[in-house]
Amino acid sequence: MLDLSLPSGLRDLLPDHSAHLAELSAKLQEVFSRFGYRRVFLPTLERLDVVERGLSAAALADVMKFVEPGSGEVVAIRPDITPQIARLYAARPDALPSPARLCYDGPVLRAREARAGRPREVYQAGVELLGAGGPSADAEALVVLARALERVGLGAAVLEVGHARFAHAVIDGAGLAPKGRAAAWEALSRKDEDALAALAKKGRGEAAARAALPELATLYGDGALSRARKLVRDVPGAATSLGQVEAALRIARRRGVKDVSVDLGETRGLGYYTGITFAGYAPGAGSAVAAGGRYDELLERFGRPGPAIGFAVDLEFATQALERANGRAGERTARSRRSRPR
Amino acid sequence: MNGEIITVAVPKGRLLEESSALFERALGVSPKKLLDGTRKLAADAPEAGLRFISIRAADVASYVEHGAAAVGIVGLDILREEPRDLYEPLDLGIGRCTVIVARHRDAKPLPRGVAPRVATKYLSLAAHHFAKKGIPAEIIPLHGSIEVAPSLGLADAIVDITETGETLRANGLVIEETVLDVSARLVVNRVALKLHAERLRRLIAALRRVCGEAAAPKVR
Repeated sequence: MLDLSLPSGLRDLLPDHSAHLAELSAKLQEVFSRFGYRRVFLPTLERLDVVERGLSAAALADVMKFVEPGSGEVVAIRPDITPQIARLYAARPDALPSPARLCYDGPVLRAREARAGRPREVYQAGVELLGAGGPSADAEALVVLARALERVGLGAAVLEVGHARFAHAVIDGAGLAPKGRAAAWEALSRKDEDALAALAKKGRGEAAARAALPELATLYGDGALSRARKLVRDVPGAATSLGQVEAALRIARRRGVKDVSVDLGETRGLGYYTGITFAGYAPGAGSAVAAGGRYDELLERFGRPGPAIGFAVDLEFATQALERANGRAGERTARSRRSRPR
Repeated sequence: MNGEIITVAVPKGRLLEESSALFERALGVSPKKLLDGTRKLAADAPEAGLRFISIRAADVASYVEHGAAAVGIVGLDILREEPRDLYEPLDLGIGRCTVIVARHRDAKPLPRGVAPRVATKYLSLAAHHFAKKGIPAEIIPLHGSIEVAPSLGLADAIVDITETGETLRANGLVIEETVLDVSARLVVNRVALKLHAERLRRLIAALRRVCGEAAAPKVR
């Protein structure tokens, strides 16, 4: 018998759903282009050492890799587009003077399902601002994301900002043994305040950092910034990170982005990020509809040092949110279309 | 209460009583009383902005992970046996018990190099425990009555959960070591915490306050 099933974790997108994805993608590209981001098309395969430079060892385990029959070179199907953009930017200074504003749209693939039922292949549309650092570039990324979400009908999404180095500074400052440090990251990823409090007692670091450690799990919600400010007055690295978040938010607010929430204890997908991080969450989507951050050390690994920031919208999760939010509206249009007189 | 109602999944069975008491002290609403008063699986507490749904203990984590409930109450044994993508902000300090390795009290030690047979419903906790000790155990999956497996000759040891150790003793078993100290945790859906950040932060803080009181009454 002919087996027409797909490899596990992959699926086809049928016309209705594909149309939603295509419409979403077109609107996003329109916003990106309005802000001066220029589209690039990149290959699906990269040499593994390029992909490797952009990823942690743990993330690398999830990359689909194989040996090219001709050259014996190990290549990978891209699990993330940002390292590809970094490679392109480093390879072509002639075509891409700094700062470069690039955007893309395409699928990325993981070797395993992150969780049963979650697709391995996801479509992303994103932007990268390469060669520009500081609060103004941070704010630009926030503004572009906010406008993009509004444009596609996800204006009600929660935009959340954090910082890749904030929790780092507190955990480092608490003076934990290497095993305790790993346990602290693990506990923080679950926002397990009790486990962090137990670890803080064992720390040999500064009192201020040890006192702040369990509080990392609660630095979200109303007044998170001012609570954080009080908490890390004497944790130098964390105070610097916090200052960067505040500066970015100030400028973004001036440019019309209101209502940004803050979570300084989010550890999600920090990967190569070094500065502010941000994500968009919408009801009806099982995970963030968009995520990004500042990565000032990645370009250097490709040989053209410089600051950079970017984000990607997850087209599948964004479509999920839209389809669920517009469920009834969608049905209505379909019905009226059907009953339209010929 | 502003905004939409937040759904809380409470487990059926022995955790319901104790977790209801915590909710009643923290927020003035008891899921048990609300659910007892109806034959439905869901009951609303509009004054607190909450809806309680009554779910099998083993399924609560699934409901919360997939967003059918924003908040839930789950034993740590379940969370560690099958890792979930959830926040676990609070140890509720209720439903305390222990996952243990037990052996028949008359069992002779196994000859060197023989892989012990271990009967359990905690496949991954058991495998992980023995792997960490460098013991090549053979894990035998069972769904219930784990404690009879050694006397019936199925297994050399069991990994099971116990509160008082009584069932173990009655079956001639002695506890050899602890695998995991268990208590019930409050779990929160990752997206829900972002969408209702302040309300959930307050809910967690209110429950934390009464858990603290419950944990330290002897000091007074």
